[in-house]
Amino acid sequence: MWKIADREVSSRLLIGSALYPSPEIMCNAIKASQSDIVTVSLRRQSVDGADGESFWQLLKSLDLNILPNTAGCHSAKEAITTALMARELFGTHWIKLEIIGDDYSLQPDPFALLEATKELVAQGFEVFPYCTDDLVLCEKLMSAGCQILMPWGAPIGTGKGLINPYALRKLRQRLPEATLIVDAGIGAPSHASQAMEMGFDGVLLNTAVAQANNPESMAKAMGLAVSAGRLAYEAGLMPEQDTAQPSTPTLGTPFWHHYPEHEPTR
Amino acid sequence: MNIVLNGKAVEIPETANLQAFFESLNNEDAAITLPRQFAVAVNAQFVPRSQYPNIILQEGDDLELLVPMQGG
Repeated sequence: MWKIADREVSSRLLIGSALYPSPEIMCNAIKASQSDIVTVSLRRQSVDGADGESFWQLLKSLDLNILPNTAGCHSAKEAITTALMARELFGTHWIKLEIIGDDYSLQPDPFALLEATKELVAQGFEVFPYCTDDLVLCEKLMSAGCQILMPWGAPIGTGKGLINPYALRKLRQRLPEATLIVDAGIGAPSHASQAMEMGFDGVLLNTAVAQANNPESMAKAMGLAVSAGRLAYEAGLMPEQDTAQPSTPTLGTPFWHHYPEHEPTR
Repeated sequence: MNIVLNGKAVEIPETANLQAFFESLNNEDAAITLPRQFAVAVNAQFVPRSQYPNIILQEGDDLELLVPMQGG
């Protein structure tokens, strides 16, 4: 078990509910991931009459922690209004704060993010900000009251993995008190493991599972990768070296190893 | 009286407060079917459920009525 915000959960994988081929596959994939936290959004009632009710009932049946997002917002004002609506609709003070600053890369707007964070923290929200890996921004978000930071691994939906591991590693080193979750850009289980091996507290992903040929199997793979990465971090990775070191003992090697042709050449 | 509901112009009875407006949506000939779970903003301001009876709709008001949806 580990603590995220005010709750104790088992899994360090947070999973999205979008883009699955069907509601049934979504449910099976989320179950297979063994995630305890699932992200949702809120939208206008669609013209075809779909009112979100069946989706919501399905999700509620999974009995997980709900993390609503403010996806699609481009200003602090929009995001604050959306967060307030989400709190009433989903009955949670958790909010994944997402404010887009650039439509091409879906890069978060750091200035609006900070502005909205201050207001939402003042209104009692637990803010999970989707942010970049900028250290100064992350420090300011923490000063504004965030316990949790969710820097991107890569732009949303790209599946490129951790495109700036140096910055992410530095964030972990410099902000040991923060709950750090890599959000967005994960494409493969190895990416999720890499983030966890660095000491990140969790990984949030959606597209990599939802768009896999077999979402249920990929969800299971992601869950295992996150667990494996965390276990490796706790075990402590060996230091990387530039020169080879034999792993098998050299003492007591048979006589043929002592022939002159086995002497190292330079 | 004309208002905008989720981006669509609709005509509603005069002097309706938000509570009365939502109740009127239960009629068969209503502009939309009222979802079971929703949250509302009027002119981009969130309106808590407890405030519905106190909000008098004005000509040209812009209502956003949002429902749960899949998200990442």
